[in-house]
Amino acid sequence: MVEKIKYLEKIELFLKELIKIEIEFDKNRKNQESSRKEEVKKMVEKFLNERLSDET
Amino acid sequence: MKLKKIELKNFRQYFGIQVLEIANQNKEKNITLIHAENGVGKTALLNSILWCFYNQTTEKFENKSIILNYEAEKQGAKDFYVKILIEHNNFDFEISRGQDSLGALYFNIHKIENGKYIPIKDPTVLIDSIMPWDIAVYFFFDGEHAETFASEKNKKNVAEAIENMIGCNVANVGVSDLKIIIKKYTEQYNQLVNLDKSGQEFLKQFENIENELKEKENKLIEIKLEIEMVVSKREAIADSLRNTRAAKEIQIQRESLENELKITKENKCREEAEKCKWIEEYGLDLLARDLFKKTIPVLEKNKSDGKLPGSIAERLLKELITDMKCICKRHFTQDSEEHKELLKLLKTSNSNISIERAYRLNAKLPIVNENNNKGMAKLTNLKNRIVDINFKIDELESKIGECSNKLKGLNLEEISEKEFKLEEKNKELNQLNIKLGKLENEIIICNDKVDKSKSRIAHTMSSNKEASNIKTKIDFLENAKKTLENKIESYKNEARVKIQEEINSLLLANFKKDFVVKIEDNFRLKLFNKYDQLIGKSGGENQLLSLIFICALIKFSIKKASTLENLIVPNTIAPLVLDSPFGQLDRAYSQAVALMLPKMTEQVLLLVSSSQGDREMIASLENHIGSEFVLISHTTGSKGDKSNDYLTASNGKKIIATKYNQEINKTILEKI
Repeated sequence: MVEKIKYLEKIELFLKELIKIEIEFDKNRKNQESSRKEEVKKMVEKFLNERLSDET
Repeated sequence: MKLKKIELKNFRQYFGIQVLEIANQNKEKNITLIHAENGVGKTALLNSILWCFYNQTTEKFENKSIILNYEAEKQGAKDFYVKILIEHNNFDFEISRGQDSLGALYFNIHKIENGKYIPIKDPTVLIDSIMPWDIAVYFFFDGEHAETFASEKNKKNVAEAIENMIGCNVANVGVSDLKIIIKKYTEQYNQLVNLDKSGQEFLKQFENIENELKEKENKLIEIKLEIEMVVSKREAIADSLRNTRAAKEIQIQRESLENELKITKENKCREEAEKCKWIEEYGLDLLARDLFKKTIPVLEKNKSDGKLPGSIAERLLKELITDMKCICKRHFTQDSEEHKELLKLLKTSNSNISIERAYRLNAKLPIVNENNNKGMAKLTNLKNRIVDINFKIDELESKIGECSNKLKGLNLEEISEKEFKLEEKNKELNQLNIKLGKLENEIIICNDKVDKSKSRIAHTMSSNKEASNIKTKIDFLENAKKTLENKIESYKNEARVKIQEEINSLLLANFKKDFVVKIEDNFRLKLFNKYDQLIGKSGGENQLLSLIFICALIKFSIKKASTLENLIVPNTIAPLVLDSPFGQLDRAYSQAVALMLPKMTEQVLLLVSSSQGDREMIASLENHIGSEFVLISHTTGSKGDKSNDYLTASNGKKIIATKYNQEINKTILEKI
């Protein structure tokens, strides 16, 4: 149960970071799809490698 | 964002430099009212904002590419511009778009700090951050085409408006980004699975099931699209029938009235025939009664005078005249005194027949009188019945006339045809829904197979650390994606409910009919009466609903801005520019909208024509007008017999809208 809650908390945290990046891009309206996707991908990889390390 | 000033040079109808200062200080007096006749430049003014901000114009703006004023061009000028001064995040910005005197187009934004104009590097990015184009259409609003948002055909617009305004678009981009990343990790994972023999086999099975699933899902999309198309066609038919059904009811009513009229006219004929019969039956009695009326008094008088029966018998007198002998046997000659006397007596003498007749006549009098009384009673009844019938005929004919007027221009055969088509569409829809249900079940089974297949692969690959590591990431991202999708969905639902509540409270306050709006799951805006029956909307009602919808969206956005969630983009709070919002509205609705406008957002720029700007409507706005302008048309044409057209300001002042015999044709902005 505790594990599940921790897992959900991680998802929440992850989504917050993801949305933060998306909002930032939306604000600036850079309209550069590739750079946005690259940045999101980097963030996702970083998060997964750091936060999911204990589960892997 | 707030608008402070708009400056136009040689823009469409506007020759030279024209400046519009917009009310922006007082929250109570937040309306800038602009009066103009049609064709003078109201829509051009709205479009000048859109053009300056986005290099775009409204859909129905004619000859979009021609910006330079015709008169300026004739004089050899090439330059035109629109400059807009705005306030955003406590800073002033000047946005300008135009063409210089050499014919080069430009677009720039300057931030004004302590009187200094600092150029912004990427003006398009700034505009997009202040107010993106996809949201702008809801704020810079062409009222004449406002019904777009509430029309049955525009559920996509409604859905887009809600999603954009409530800020779901960013979260949607997040979902699509996650999908791409999941796909990439899955590819990596599958490469590792393919290296394992049994894993490879399971993967093949998995791919087959997944292909099957994809096929079914594509089919599902197809069916859903088909259903959507059938539904929209059915809606279109039902919509036109909603109006024509009423017509059909009128037609049924007219037919029944016509039937009743036919029966009534037949009754009238019968009564007329009765009248003829009456004449036959009582005509003689009536004549006799009249004769008696004249004869009886004479007879009675003669009787009382002793003249009836007469003193000398007719036969005796005739014998004396024939024999030319007096009663004393003495002879007399023709034309003698005696002869004349006897002839005179003959006139007043009476025969037995006439005496007998007189007595018989006298005896018949009571019978004639009785018949007459009967006849007269019958005649009175008959007359009354005919009067009633005539009255009923008049009434029926007038009702039929009313029905016919209502039905003018409607094709009733077409209505029956539509009813038939509607029935067909309903059957078609039922069939499609059965197909959809079946397919959805198949997809559930298929998904189950996919999950089992995935578990088999995961189990097989559990000893491969690298693969397990990637699988954990994929699972995590899948869960995150699902969580985000659920959040968007529940947020959209919440927004829909709140916007619906807002619309209904505005309807209650402003709509003269007892209606309720429901925003369906697919964001379709529908109007129901108090008996929960779906009802069609007129053009005016669609326009009013659109305005109310925008108002509700803005209110929702403002409220939401204060309770901002992480996954939602902060809302745009922008001025509302309304071009002819009263176009199709009747007086009661216009006033309702006028009362609503000042509360809609912080700043309202309202463009009205004289037909829409009537006194009562302006009076409802009077306390909220912060700034007021008129667009005056200068024309080179002569006034001739034309009467002056006036625009009436909120203070009642009348301003001449067209000035004739001017040097050039142009529109000028004049502050009141």
